[in-house]
Amino acid sequence: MRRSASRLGIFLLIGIFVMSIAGIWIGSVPLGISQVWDILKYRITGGALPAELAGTDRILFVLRIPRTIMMLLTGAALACSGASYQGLFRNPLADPYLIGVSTGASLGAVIAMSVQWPYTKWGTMMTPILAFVVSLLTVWVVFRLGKVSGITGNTGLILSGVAVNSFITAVTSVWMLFSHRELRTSFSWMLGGMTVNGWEPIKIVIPFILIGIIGQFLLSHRLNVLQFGEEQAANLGISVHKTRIGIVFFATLTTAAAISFSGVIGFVGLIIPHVIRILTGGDYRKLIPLSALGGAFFLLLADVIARVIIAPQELPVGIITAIAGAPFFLWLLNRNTGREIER
Amino acid sequence: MISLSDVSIHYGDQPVVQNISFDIQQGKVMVLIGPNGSGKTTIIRGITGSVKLSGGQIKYDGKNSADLSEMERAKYLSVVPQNSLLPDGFSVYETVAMGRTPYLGLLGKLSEEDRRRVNEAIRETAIFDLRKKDVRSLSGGEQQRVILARALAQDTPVMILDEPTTHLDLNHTIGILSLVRNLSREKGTAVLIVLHDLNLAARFADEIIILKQGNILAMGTPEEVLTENNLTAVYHVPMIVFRHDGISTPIVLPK
Repeated sequence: MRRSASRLGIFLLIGIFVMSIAGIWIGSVPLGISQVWDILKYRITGGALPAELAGTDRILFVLRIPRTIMMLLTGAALACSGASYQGLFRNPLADPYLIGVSTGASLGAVIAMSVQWPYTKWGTMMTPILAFVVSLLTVWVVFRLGKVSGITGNTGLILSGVAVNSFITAVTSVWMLFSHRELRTSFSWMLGGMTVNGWEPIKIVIPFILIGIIGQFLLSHRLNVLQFGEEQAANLGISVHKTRIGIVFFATLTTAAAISFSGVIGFVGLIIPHVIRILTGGDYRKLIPLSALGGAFFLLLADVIARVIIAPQELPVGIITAIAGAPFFLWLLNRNTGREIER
Repeated sequence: MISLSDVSIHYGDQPVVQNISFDIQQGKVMVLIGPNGSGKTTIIRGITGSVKLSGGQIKYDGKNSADLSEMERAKYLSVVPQNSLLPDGFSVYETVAMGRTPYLGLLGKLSEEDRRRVNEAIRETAIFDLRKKDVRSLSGGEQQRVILARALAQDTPVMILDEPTTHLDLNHTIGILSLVRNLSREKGTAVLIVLHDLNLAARFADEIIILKQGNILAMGTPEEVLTENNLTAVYHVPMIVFRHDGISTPIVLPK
């Protein structure tokens, strides 16, 4: 049963709007409507903010709104890249982490957290920056190894991804064993529980995520043709190698930028594209933008749940996505039993 | 149109095709026959650029095929592969429309002319009633017609079909081969088909190439090539070739 893509898009946009308001509103400090209204008035008119509103203003504009926007961007990035990777590998169980994005980012983050950086703007940014850089490097190594392994096509890439992922995970564990500090922060990061303060992270990730999502959308028709296998795609005029490089590049850029600040958040890239595919069919020209919207909605929802479920404490959002995602994954596995998983 | 000169193809150290030369000519249906492993599919994969040549040259209208991009090649040559991978989630119409890919922009938006070609291909292959169905829900024969429609929508001067009738019943087999032959007669399309059925080859081919262990054993009209000696040498089964009133082509049967 296929639904109209535009109707689903409108539904998701409304959902994102509602969840964004909820994300800004809900938290350990309750906000009054009149306070928020006053703050907005001062912000719009540019008047000096009274002292009694300064605390609420900070909660709104330094904590909650940036966090909500970051969740929105991260969800969109992960789900959109998940759709691309599933298309690229023609494997419903593929996700953005298959070729080392996540393990590379974890290693970068753990290395960064083991060092006492000076408390400057760049010092505080070292975790996301190293996560981003090591993540891209890892994917590059996976891609190179996949190519030199002599096994053509996706199988070489998947095998080299498995090998490199194991190796990097081992290095990360050793690094954590030998650096006693900040183990808790590292774990929290790996569970997708990094807190975002202020607008600086958003300014940094927005260009990467936007370029990444637009790049993936522009390759979406080629991704459609690739679903018929590499040989048929080439016979239909697609440059398979260039398309594959393009998709890996844009999807990795998007994912690495998103998780470098938010930490590793699993299952969004797996679940959302599947649900969208079930609802609207296999056309990646619809799947990519709708997955981005669906991912944004889902992560905003998960973030609100993470904040209210054991309030006033909060869970890392990755735990919520994993709790929702693991049963879904098993269902998917069961659904694919007897069908070809890797076609 | 497409000419092969001294083409050799190796898989590793193993020679699969050796020093083969022939032309696929405009307005003609050429049929490749030969036992399993004689190199039929490999020759096709060499022509489409899926495997590298270890010797010789393939030229598309005088241009070296190795110098052409996938896009240029796809405007020139369409392929109906032996086993087509069909993904989940695409309708028959969407699948046939993929044939227009070499003419489309980055996002694959169909123009009025593209739609006209797609609809024409859908009607020619008699799959109009199936156009909204998911391709994976179709029978093997229906799927094969969808892939043929996709190749027709590609609108190329050369078409290659690798055992296109494997999954088809007799009615659809004759239908598809007649369609392809009409295409070559009316539009001048150059057609190369791999077939296992020697009688179908005799009936639909203008020219037949018999392959044996990667070499051309014989090449010519069905009457010239389908001889008891040639066929017995290739298939290692005693064969009989005879004529029947009302059928202009030779009839072939194992003895």
